[in-house]
Amino acid sequence: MNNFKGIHIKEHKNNKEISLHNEVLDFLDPEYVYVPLVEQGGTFTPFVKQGDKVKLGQEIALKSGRFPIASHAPISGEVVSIDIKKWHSSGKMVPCIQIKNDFLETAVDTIKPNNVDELSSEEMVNKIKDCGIVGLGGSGFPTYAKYNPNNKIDTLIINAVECEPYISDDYIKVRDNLDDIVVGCKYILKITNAKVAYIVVKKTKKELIDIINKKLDLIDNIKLFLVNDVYPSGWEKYLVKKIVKKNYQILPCEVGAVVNNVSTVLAIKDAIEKNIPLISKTLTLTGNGIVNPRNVHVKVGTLISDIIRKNGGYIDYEKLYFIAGGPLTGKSLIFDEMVVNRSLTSVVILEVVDREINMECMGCGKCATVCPVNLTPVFINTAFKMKNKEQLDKLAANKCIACGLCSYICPSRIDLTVNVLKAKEYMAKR
Amino acid sequence: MNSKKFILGKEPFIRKADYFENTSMKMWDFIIALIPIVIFAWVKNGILPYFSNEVVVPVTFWQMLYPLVLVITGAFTCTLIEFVYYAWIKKENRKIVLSQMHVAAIPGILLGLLMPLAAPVWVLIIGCLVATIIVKLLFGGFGHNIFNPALVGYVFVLTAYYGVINNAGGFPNAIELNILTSSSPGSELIAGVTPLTHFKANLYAPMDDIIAPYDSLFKMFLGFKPGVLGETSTLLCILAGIYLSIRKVIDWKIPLIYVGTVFGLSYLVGISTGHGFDIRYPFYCIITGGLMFGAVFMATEPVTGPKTPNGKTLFAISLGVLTILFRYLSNYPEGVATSILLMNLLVVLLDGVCAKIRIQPLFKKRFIAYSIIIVFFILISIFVITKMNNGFREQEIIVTIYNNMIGGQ
Repeated sequence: MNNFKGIHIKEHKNNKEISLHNEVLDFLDPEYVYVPLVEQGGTFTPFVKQGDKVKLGQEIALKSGRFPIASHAPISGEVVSIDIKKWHSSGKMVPCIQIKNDFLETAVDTIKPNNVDELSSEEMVNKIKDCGIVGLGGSGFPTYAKYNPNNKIDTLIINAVECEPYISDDYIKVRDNLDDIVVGCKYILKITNAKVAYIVVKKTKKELIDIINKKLDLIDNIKLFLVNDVYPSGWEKYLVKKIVKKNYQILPCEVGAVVNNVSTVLAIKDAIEKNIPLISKTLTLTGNGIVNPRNVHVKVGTLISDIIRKNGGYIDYEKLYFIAGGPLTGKSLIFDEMVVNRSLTSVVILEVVDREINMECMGCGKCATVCPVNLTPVFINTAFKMKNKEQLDKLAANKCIACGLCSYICPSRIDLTVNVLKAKEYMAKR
Repeated sequence: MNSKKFILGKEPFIRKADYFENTSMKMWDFIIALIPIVIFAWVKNGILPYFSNEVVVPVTFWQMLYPLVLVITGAFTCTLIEFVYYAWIKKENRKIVLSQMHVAAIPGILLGLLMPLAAPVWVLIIGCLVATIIVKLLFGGFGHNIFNPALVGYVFVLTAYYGVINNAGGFPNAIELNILTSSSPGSELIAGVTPLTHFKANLYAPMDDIIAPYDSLFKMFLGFKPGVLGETSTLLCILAGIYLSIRKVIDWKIPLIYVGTVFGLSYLVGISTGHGFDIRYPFYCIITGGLMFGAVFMATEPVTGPKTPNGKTLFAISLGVLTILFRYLSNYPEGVATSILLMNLLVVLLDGVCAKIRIQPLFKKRFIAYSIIIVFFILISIFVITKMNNGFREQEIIVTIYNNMIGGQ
């Protein structure tokens, strides 16, 4: 009875192509970077203080907790401040470490090529941990935690689906760096002892399928897997269900699977081969409100406003949305002075559509039909308005994955997703 | 540093409602789907009798326009009431109120289509008042009503003013009246009643006799049979259902499962009442009465229907079972309106249960929950079928005793 069909999003045709027409822009020398001290709800403790000289790749902060992970200096230079507030993709202002660039790019000593053949799998996992690799598909979950040696892993899933509209950075990566992805894949296969790896792309991306098929002809244990062009087909649970044909409750390792994003695989390859920490990333800068929509290669901590200025600015619409993340799950911000954090995938600038006049909920129940986790958002919405905790518990509002489909489909434009997420927060508070 | 200011929006930023899939558009679709039915009702009850040479009592020009007048009056009354309420009493923005007036017209159009041809206009207006004020506005307007406004209006009018409507001429139009009165004896029984009443009066008669007054099943399927204005054409109702399903205004599952359940159960009843495996029996049951009209336009009404997908399926099944229950085991021949209203009342309960069953991760528990509900439905069906079967047997026994008595003499 589980609904794993997903919904094909017809609106905004050719939304991915608009950012593919332009070449990837490198912007690796910003004047200042702001390394955010918040990730996935946890806070980092800075090691450096004002006036310190830092080298490129130096650890400057550490997040404690169940899965500790470090943050690294993306450039070399001088620390200007350790608690300057900047906008973050979570929609809030967070403290950041501000570093002034000296444009020398002096790197720490550890960044050097390794003899990969001699590394054991534990050493590889340690390198992934030390280099601060987190899930780059948007989650920001520390990657090393997935390679716990206690888990028996059979299947490795490389997620290049990118089910959200407009985003195209995974597409660019598979198109340009397939060799590196395959190498990274082999490292992860060695770490996890998995038998087979699947690279998952959408059926509709003919160009990618050709490239991957040509490359994978000679390799036995890495295969191509195709999914339908629906949303949310890039969702972990959807992929595991399709490939392993089993449901899991909390983590994919319960059914012997590990899911990694392609960008994460590339970062892992760099970390294992050259000890390069996660200090630069590709993100998609797109939407109908921006000049030259394209993918940009930037340092972590760069301000989006700097990148957009370098890229050519905005199209002169009267009202624009600034969306951190994809158009379905991203957060809207008022100012564009937002930092690039490690798990940010895209920034979408969209023209504002007038959504003022709406009718009452007519109770069509479409939100319940499309929900991938079988919730009934319309009831959660009502229960949340009445602050009915018991009812929210019974309706399992905490299972929401924030995919945004209920609001997308709602003919009365009710902000169901936002309200269900608020209900989730409200439940967690008590 | 001066930075650009953006508009704060709520995710997701792509909405289907921006692309002609909003509530207002869907309601226009609903009206568009009703137009062919209105036209057919007009042609069948107004134009054809007007130009027919065979009718005994000639049809006046006013009577020709009358079906159309009924529908338009209904739509106009309901719209007027809602406009007065929102624009003058509640003093809302008049532009917005006007842009949503087509939604207010829908119960009126439906109620107009649910009127027997002879219903006086004032009866319809009273029905509209009941439907809009009591059923809709008192509950909080569109989106908050518990019962289907048009159906409550229909049931109210038919119970309160049945005598008035019947004295004015009841269901049949001039052509039907003509044929019915000039045909074989016993036809007075049929005059003024629908095929379903006729069917109910002759439950154990052979199929050929039941169909005989209406020529053929196919003609009935096309819509040439006595009945309220909108319900007669099964074909047009099916086409409207297909259109609405394609435009995703209604859930195609509800009419399909509803009609399917009625079809299956009446087939079983047919077998147990001595009709054998005659496929015409269940077909007769689904094309007569308001079943197809109710299944497409009333049962699927989103406001009063269930919200959960599994709830919709159970809703449709229970509608089917209840329709059979009411049709065979109550004094009233029609079971559709009553069963839909009864289920409207139970929607909150049904939804509450179904929303909890849906999120149940264990297949076993879901299976048990659904099984209990299905078993309940099966028990009701068995009850109806055995009851009908006993009635059939009793009748057989009476006939046998009677024959024996005659033989004995």
